[in-house]
Amino acid sequence: MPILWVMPDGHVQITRIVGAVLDQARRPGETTDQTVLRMAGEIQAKTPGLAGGIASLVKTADIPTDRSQRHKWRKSPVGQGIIVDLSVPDPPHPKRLLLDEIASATTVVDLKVALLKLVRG
Amino acid sequence: MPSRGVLGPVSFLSRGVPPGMPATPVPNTLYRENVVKAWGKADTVGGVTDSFNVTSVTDTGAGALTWTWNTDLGSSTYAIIPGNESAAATSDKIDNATGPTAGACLHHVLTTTTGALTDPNFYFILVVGDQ
Repeated sequence: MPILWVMPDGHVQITRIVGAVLDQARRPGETTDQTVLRMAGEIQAKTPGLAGGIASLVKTADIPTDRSQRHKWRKSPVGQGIIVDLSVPDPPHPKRLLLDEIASATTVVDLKVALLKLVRG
Repeated sequence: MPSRGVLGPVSFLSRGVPPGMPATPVPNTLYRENVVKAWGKADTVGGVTDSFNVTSVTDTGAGALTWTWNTDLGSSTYAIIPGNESAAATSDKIDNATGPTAGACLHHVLTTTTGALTDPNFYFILVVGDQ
C-alpha cells in the first residue's frame, strides 16, 4: 500500500516501495502495513523533500487517476483518500515575468528585447 | 573514500576489491568505480517497473519523482543520468535545492517550450559513483 505524505503546506506526496525490497524488509510477525510504515521513517530520513511530512497509508484506489490538477491534491478531511481541492490556486506560469514584460512593453525596442529573452530562454 | 582496484568476478562477490586501480583505467576492465550503483524505470501511477538498488519512488508532484536508494552512495557527489519517455519534447534535471543526497535524488521532467514540470510516461535513472 502506498505511503501518503501530508506536507506542512498541505500538498501531498505518495511513496511506493519496490515489492522485492518490501518483502526483504518484512520482519517475522510484522504485517505489510507495519513494514511499510516502519520503512516510511527510513525513507523520510534520507529524503530532504519529505522533511516535516506526516505519513499514513493510502489505498491505490483512493488516489486520483486524473493528474491534470496534481498540485490541488490534498488529503481528504474525512477518510484516508485524496481529494482535488479546487480552492488551491494554479501555480504561476514558469515564464510569467517574461510574459508580463512583453505585455507591458510600450515601444518596439522594448518588445524586441522581451521577445529575445523569451526565445533565448 | 574506498580504495580503488580491479574488480574481478571473485572479488566482486566477496566485496574484497584489491587496491591499486591505475590512474589510467585499463580498457574493458571492471572497477568498483565504474559499476552501475542503481538504475530504474518508474511512473507515477504504478511506481517502479524495474530497478536495481532502488527502495522506493515518491510522486512529489507533476513531473517530479524522488528516487531513494536501498544501499546509499558513499556521498552526494555521484553521477546521475536521468531520462524519460514522453510524447512531447521534454528535458530532465536533478533538483539541487533538496539534494541529491547519498540516499536520494529528486528527478524533474520539464516541457521544453515552457519549462513547466510535466508528467512523462516513464522516468529512467542511472547512477554511478563511489559507494
